[in-house]
Amino acid sequence: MVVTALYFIYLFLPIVLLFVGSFGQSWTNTLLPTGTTLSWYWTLFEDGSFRRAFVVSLEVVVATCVVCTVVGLPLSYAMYRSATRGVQAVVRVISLLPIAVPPLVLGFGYILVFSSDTLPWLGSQWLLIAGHTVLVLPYLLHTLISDMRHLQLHVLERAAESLGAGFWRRFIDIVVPSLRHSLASGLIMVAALSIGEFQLSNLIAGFLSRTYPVVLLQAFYGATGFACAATVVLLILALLAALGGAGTARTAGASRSVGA
Amino acid sequence: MTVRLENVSFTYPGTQIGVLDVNLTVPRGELVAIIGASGSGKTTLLNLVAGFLIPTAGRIYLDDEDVTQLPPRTRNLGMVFQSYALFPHLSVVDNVAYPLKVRGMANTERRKLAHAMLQRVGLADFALRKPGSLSGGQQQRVALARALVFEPQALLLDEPLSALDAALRVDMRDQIRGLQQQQGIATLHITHDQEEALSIADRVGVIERGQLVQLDTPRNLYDRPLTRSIAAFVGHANLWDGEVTGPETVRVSFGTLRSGPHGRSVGERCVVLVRPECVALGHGDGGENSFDCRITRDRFFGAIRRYDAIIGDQGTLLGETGERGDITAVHIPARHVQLLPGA
Repeated sequence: MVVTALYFIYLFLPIVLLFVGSFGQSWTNTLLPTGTTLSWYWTLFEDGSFRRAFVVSLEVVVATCVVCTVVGLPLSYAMYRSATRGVQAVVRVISLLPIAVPPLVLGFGYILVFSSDTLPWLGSQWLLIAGHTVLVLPYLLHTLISDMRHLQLHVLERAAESLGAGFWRRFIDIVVPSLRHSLASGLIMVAALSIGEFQLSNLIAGFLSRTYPVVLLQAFYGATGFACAATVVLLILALLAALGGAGTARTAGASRSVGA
Repeated sequence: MTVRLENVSFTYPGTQIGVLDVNLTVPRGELVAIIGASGSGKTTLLNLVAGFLIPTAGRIYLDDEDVTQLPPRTRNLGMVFQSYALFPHLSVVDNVAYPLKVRGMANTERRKLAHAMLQRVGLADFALRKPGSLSGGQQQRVALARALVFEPQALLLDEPLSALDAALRVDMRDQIRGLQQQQGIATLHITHDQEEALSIADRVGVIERGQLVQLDTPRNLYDRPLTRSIAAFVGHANLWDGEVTGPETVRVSFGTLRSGPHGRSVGERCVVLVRPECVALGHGDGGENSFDCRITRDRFFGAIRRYDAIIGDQGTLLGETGERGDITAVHIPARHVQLLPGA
């Protein structure tokens, strides 16, 4: 009990302090800030580079979620259904590599490849989205595949096939709707990871396509209250992204099952 | 509709496992159960009929149409799976209506038919529930309704009762049999539970190492098994190695038994089969096939009592009786002593 309590304090104290700090007028060499104000949030709102980064982050997250869904669903299905254990093992290793390799390494690679004359895409928002997709896709694949195993999707498909449903029919009627819960939880993870991603974004984002965490770094060189306010906004952004991810998946699942 | 298998063989790539040269006809209205130990090939056989596997040799016919190469979805067969395989995201009625939806039936019409089918399995009140909120027995009835609603050519049951508890299993057995007879549909029922097979089927097939070794009525299969392993698999059995000593006698480890005329030659090795319920208590008339014995284990099941007895020093015997008293001697009427080919 005591240990749990201590752990929770350890976990939430920084977040609480951030909140407190973001409303504090000045905070130097004291335990708690002195005076209350909303001016840090106003300053933040007035700052063009932060506003821009906020929008870019939202765009990148939404696009990453969409790309992950479009790529991840068929890919995870193919991995689950692929016949031999050997193929499955190889695919699993490949899909885990982006997790094992530090984003820093990936970022350097991107810089090397995409600053060349043939592929001059470094700094574009699309490259950023692609990078995020590579980093977070394995998490989605894992969630989806373990759910497929749990559901015994191949038996459900067999049943559907014996009832007369062809491949596409099964995929639309059975496979996709059965996975809507794991797709939702997978997308929450994808959104949260993408919104907080710093290492890769910091390396490959162009000046106009910097994401929020990248710009946030600069706030730490300024006033404490401003930094706190900027970080609180990131927290809220992450929460919103997670909720948005869950929402999209649920409505997608619901609209499919209505037609059945 | 008739299901007919002609010399059907299938081996899994790179192994010797599969089914070998199976011939089987299931006429309209008949329920054939296939029993066998796990790994004997019974599920393979079902998957061949369903179309999930394509035979390496032989032909499969539905009525007179050759369906050997057809994919499962065009065979029009109702199938019930061990794990029910209900679609978790669809309501019970939508599950049952799904095969009709696939066949392009209009929404109102297919719901009407699905409801009627649910009525027949006694689940009309559960139509709007999700399968996950139903008990195992109810889920199995939904699966059955879904497999029958589109009036399939035949019904395939893959161990449909093995996930249910014992009391429910007996109940579901009767329900399956009732529905099957109402619909008059050819049914292939795969199970490892021989009691289930004997009680539900018109004919029972025993499959061993991929071969259909005996296909007969339940009573014949039990009373006249062709081999030692069939006798051992179907019901309880005393199986003793023996040697023929005369036209109506056979010697086993604990003495000589009189049997009916068996038509085997003197000196031939054989296996002697006596079902436990055929063993009578006490010395018989004239002392024929009578032995003093000592009980080593006694199990009470209510209606019957199953005991292990030792005859002499080495003969062990399994018997069943309704008597409650002490057992000191047993006798085996000669007509219940059967000779099977030697191992």
